[in-house]
Amino acid sequence: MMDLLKHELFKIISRKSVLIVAVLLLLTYGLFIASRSDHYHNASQEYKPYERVITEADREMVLKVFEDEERYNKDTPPSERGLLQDIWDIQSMQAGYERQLEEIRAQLDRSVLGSYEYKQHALHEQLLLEKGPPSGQVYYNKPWAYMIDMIDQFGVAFMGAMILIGLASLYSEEYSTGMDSLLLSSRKGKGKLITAKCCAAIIYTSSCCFLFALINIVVHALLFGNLDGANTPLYSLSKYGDSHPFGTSPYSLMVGQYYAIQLGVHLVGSVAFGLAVMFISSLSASSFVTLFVSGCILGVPYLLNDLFNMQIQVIEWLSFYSYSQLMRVTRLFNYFQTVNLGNIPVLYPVAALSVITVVTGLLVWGTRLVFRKHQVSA
Amino acid sequence: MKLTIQDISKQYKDKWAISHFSAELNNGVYGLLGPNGAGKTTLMRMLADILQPTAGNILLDGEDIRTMGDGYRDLLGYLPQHCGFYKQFTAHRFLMYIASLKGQEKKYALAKVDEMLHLVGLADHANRKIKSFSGGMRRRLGIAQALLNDPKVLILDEPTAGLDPKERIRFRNILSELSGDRIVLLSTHIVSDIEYVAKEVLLMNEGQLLKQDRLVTLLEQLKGMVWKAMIDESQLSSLKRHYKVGNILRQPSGIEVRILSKEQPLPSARTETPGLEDLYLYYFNEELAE
Repeated sequence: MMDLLKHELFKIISRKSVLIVAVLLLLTYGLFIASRSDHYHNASQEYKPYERVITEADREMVLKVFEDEERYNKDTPPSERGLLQDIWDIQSMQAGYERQLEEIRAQLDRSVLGSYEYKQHALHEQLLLEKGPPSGQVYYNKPWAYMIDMIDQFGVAFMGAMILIGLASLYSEEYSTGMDSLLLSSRKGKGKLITAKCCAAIIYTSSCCFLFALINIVVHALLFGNLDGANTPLYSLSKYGDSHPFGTSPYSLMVGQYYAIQLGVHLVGSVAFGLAVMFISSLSASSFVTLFVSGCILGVPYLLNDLFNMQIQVIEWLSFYSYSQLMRVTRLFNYFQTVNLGNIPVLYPVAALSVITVVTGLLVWGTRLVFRKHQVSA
Repeated sequence: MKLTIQDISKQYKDKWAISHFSAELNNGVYGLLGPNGAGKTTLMRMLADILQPTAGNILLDGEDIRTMGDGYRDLLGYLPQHCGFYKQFTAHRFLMYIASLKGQEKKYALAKVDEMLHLVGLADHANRKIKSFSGGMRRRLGIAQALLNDPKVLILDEPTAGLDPKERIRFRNILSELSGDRIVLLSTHIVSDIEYVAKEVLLMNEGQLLKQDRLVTLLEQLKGMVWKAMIDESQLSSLKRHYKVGNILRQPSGIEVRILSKEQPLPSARTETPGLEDLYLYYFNEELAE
């Protein structure tokens, strides 16, 4: 089994196309980093004086700077703009939390006791209360903000491309080259070979995922000079001058905890997509067809919902459970959403991970069935 | 060991590629002869457990090969007509991969792979990538992979296609050495491949078995039907119209022809000892016989 697994892995990584795509993606990553090079600035010392409860005087100081065109303009360094913005946002975040609670309580009052809606709002309230109101402090966690954003944005493209180029030919190439005759007529061809291919797909995908995470963490640590902010609250996470994507998140997580969850879910999503590509590959003798179909499965929900913002229920539902959404992770945790399971509200991350686990299990079983029953007739 | 093909048929859409084919194979080499489209490859695929028959069974020592599953394939060596390779693999790595597919331990496989590479004359090319191999070398590598597990049932679909005469002789010798304690079924268009090694010949056409017998017995039937004569150009077309004409050899004194006929076709014709080519012509050129 181990020998078969090694050979299957070698078949994937010895392809020149895998190496070429990996190099091109890393070059693109480099360009992506270079395009916002002015953001990679260690501002921990500038943030230090404000790591306390922000006062009205602080807000007035920020307002003055905002109004002073000589001090606050397009040439203002992102780190300075970020600090000012973060100080300014504190009040609205605190107000937002209170407003959220009020709205939930009003909805609770309007809901029928014991109904799904009631349970959903009660759960939301419970999570928000556990999380507590924003502390009113400014936190420095920029290296993590950029790192997490990179996985959310470029990480999906990187993993998608690496999975497609590496795994689209997993079975398709066996059919197109005529190797299926030898494989299926061998002792282990209808059993352990399929397990070995599945394990090779998981190892290859996981390796790409870890490689990207490692590069990402090293690059950000080098660019920022540190990885400060792992123990800051998730709601405070933002890039310089950006909004707080987790500002309304109901989850009381620290940035470091979220990063670990993000990596884990990103890995699960990537492996699930890799195994979906493997299944499609088992159905087609053409690697190109596998590549195209799998590419559409990954890209179309993202394009329609995220890029073109099409608010059609089917598309939203598809996007809700799409591989790209799971691999991005952010949307699973940045707002409160539940799925109705027998009148019980199930949190979106739990529902998405459960659905993807069941679907992936079925696809692996399907791959096994398709290849075992494959008839060599052409 | 006995391989029984029990009334098998294979249908593709509205065409029957194999129709009610039955045969029994014991240890020894069996040659499968038939024209293109006769169903040889389909039959061999079913024997290699990579294609399911529409009807009928294949039994090894009385047990259905579908029930045997891995156990049957463990005894099987198969060389498909169009054998695929991983071009980025070296010959050695490719055979090691096949060895692991056949469930061989690494230590045993290393020794066996070296032995097979020597056997097919590729030992000096073991570490070359397959993409740099010629067609003949790839065919030899295909033969090596089929023999890797010392199979008890060896299915070879056109094994000598692409081999030069020297390589074909080497292959025939390998086959002769191997044939003692296993069933070998090989299909070919090159009749000389089986002329000297086949214990029995299976003649098939349009998915059906026409004859299965020892080669001498089959040739015995043609005794007195194979003629050789010297003719001139003007006689050739008339002769072709009325008889099955085999080899045509142009010589300074005229044209030497080999003719299949129950009666003497020409006064100058002399009987010849029948060969496998005559047999092939006799069975697979029916329209001329009428």
